[in-house]
Amino acid sequence: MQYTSASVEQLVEEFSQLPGIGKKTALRLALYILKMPRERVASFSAALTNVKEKVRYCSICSNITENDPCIICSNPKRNRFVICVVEEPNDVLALEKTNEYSGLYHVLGGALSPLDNVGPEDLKVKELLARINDSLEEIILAMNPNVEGETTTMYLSRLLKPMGMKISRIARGLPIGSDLEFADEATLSRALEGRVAL
Amino acid sequence: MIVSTDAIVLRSMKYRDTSKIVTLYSEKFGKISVLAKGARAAKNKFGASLEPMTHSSVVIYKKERRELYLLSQSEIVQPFFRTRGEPEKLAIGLAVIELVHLVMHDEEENRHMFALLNDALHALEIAKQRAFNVLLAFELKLVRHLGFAPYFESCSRCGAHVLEDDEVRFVHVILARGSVLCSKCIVQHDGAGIRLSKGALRALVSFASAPMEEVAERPIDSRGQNEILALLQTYMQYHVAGARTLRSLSLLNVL
Repeated sequence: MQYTSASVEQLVEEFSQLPGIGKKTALRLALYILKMPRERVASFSAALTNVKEKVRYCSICSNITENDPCIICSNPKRNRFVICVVEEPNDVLALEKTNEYSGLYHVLGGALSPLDNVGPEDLKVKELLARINDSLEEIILAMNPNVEGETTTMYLSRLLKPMGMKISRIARGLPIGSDLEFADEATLSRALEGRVAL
Repeated sequence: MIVSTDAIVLRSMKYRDTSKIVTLYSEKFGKISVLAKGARAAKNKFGASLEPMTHSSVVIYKKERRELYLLSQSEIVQPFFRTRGEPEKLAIGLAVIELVHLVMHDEEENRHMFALLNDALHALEIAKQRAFNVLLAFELKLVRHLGFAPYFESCSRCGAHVLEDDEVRFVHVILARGSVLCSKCIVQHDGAGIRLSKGALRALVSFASAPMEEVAERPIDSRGQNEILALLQTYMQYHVAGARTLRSLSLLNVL
């Protein structure tokens, strides 16, 4: 594509590097930026720079943060005897929204996936092991309910069980508001497996 | 055109916020990729039917000259629960589908291949011991299916029946010819072959003729299994474009 401006061309090129953005969408975004007020463009540009300059990984839980340790790890009110292990920072946000969990987190940075060349050495497993001490009572494994998540759960439970603390996993089964009759057999079997006494 | 077919899920990858692009090995169309809109949302109509290794019945909107079709419905036919729950079986099952993903071309209908894949996953599900045999037998039968069947029963030089000849203690597999030379003839052969013990050769020949659900019962030790795996992977990489060492097997070391 020929552009009449090298700057627009560069911006289109940069946008099209983002996931899910093709050349046409990149051009649409670039032309929108061109129409935006100067202050909003400056604010947008500053946000992009700040995210790279200020955001880092928490040295304890590997979650994204601006202050090390992160606000969860440094909060004295959190239950320090329980760690919930998740795949990505998004999962911490999802669990925090529940207001049901008051322990600490550990972000692995992904899940085991040999097809994508992701092995245990690519995840923050060593960092998790370094956090284990005698006062720790429980580790909750909260991986996604897919093959990669199950594989990671299997791997971590084998690794952590000999260390003596309680190892649990989040329940799998029917989403609230759905109908039993439309659930597939895999989901229903998991729901039956994870049934609780009343 | 709306079409329905049975399919086995080979891979799935995240697409946009809530969707997935899923690669299937289907009975009617071979290897195809489909877009499953909303498949990652908590309430989605596909449930667990798009997890790798699952045998599902799918309905797709198929358009000519499109590489990606739209998935309309998907229901589980066989979830292969036991395979998912046991670390060794899980690694082997993932290796089986990885191999199919690597070597099969897109959109080439091959019902025998679908049946072979389905049989292998069933055999793995019911295997009570030596589940690894299923992968070895699957690789061997796949090579035969692709037209590169090796012939291992007699020496290609002197014609000796290597399994019956007590003097033959090992053979050398000549990759290019897909044949073997007995331990006596290899000294006159100019090119090197891959050495295979007689025990491993016996197991390999037995895998070739055995129905898939019986291969796990065939006796072989782990050393023999490793010999056969190394041979088949090298043989496949020599003859089949796209073949490489199976990454899923690395799970056997960590699980």
